[in-house]
Amino acid sequence: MKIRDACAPERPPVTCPSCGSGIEDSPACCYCGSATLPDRRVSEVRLALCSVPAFLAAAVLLALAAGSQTRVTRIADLTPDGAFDHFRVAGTVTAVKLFPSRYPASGQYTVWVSDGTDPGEDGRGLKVKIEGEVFSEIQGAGRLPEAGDEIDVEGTLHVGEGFKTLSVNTAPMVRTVKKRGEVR
Amino acid sequence: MDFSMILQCTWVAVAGMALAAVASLIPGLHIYNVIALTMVIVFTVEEVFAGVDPMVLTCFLVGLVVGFSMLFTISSQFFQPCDDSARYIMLPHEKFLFDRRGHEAVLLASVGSLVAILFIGIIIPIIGPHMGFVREILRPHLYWIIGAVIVFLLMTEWPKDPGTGPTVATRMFDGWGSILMGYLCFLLSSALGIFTFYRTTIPVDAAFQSLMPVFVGLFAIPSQLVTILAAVAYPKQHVARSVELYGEDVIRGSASGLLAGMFASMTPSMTPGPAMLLSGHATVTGGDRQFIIGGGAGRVMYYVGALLFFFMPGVFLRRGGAAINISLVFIPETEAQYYVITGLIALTGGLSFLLMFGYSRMVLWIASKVNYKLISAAGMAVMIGLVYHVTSWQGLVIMTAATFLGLIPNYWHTRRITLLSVLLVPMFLNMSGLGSDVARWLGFM
Repeated sequence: MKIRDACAPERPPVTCPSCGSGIEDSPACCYCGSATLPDRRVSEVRLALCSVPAFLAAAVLLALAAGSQTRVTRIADLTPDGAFDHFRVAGTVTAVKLFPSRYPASGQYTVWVSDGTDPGEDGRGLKVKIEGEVFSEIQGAGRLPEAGDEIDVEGTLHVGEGFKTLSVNTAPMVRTVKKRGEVR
Repeated sequence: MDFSMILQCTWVAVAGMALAAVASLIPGLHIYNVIALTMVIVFTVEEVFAGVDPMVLTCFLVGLVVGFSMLFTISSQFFQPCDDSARYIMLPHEKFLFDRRGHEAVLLASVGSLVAILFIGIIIPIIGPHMGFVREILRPHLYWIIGAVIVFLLMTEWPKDPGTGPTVATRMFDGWGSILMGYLCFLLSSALGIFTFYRTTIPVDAAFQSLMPVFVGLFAIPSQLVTILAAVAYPKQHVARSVELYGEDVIRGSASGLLAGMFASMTPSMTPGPAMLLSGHATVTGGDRQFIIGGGAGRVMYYVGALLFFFMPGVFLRRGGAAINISLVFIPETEAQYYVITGLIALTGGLSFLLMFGYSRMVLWIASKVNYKLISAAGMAVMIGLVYHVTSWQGLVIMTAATFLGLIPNYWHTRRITLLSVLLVPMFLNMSGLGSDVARWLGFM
């Protein structure tokens, strides 16, 4: 038992910062065992400040997204090493072919694009496939590329022995830069 | 990418995070259940969403996942106290609750979650280009890695009885009872998993959610039932304005959690539970604080990291329910999309962390006003309704069977981790080329 000096000033009751139990002025709580000294504890304000790097990272990443564009690749550089990767090519449409379907959203539109670096297997350039809902969406918007148009297109590369095809996955990835005969 | 598009994505991601905060109030509800409901709504009123860019919907789901992975354990912390008559092990965060330190446990878990968010927002974009290489190295070995995890789970089952029975036979029964029931759980869950993979009765239009009733039945409903039947009252909680925390705890706990999260997000059928068990052994973490911090880091790294790999150029790893559901409406393509998703993860992660301080106090206030048994009963009703809505009565039948299975660990004091064989075993069998043979042998084909 501690004997206190009756003349000593009354000290405020000390509570454990972790569990709130009333404790003597001690470096560790006798109820929950946690350290009570301020230098062994981190305040909520300091914890909250630790989230600042997350917001900075978010700002940097969103800025990168705003300035990021897929690099245009020459058709000749599309090799089997890049199979199933995402590529962007730009060139002139040399030919188109429509495979209509009796079922909605299942048609297929194929365009051949040439940038002058690779004539392709039949001399028409790279085969670009626009299928299904993507085809329907582009057709609905009246944006289907035609022969002679200059286009900028992105998609997944399928390449192997004797074939090289770019499959368009979403409608915004087909962009017509200049219509045939259009003067800029 | 257009600035207006980025702005739109940001708003919807924050809205997703806000919805996650509301959904997180329901203890036991899983984020994938919320995503399933979202997808059902999207498909039901498809014409409403016809004009919405899939990227916008994706960002909403990303915000939902991040918010939920940061906040959903808070309601469990205060609404699901551990009744030691139904559980053999009291985990550190439950111990904190009974020491009046529930809020402090929330703070510690959130520190781990924040470390995972910082890792995803700062480190992953730097090491990201190499993740495809790691994936290629791991790919041919995944089946035996999963097999080794299964062996580890079975090996680490131990007799949970003090051995005080009056006779040798009683002591043998007490000792082996829990172990054998653990193995029984393993076998039955494996059979249920193979059934789900090969001959599920879920209607075709809800087939993408065939695992939902299984998981709700195995894990969510039993924990709610045990909470409703619980006979414990936890002491009035103290809202700590500071937390006992050391650099070593943050580093070792987070390292263990990040390792577990990375492993779980790269390995099919792996979840944070077994991954944490493995990484805890591997990194020799010790102490309650490191355990809680590791749990927070591992959970976020798994749920959010696995989702991020889906968007990562050169990786496009479709792992986890969130990525699988998002892949129904969105195909990731460009680096710009990847940066937007990563940026929004960092943003909503940071916001969720700040929200946590008030959210924990609010949940604590609710817990002081409303009986936690009522909250669990309401949560259970919501989940049963959700299962019925998404998977019809067939889902309810599967959920009921899974619930009986999920209650075995509570009655026999075995670990619930063996129930995860519902995913691990079918995945191991399929990846090793034996899946269809075993399914045929069991009469499921």
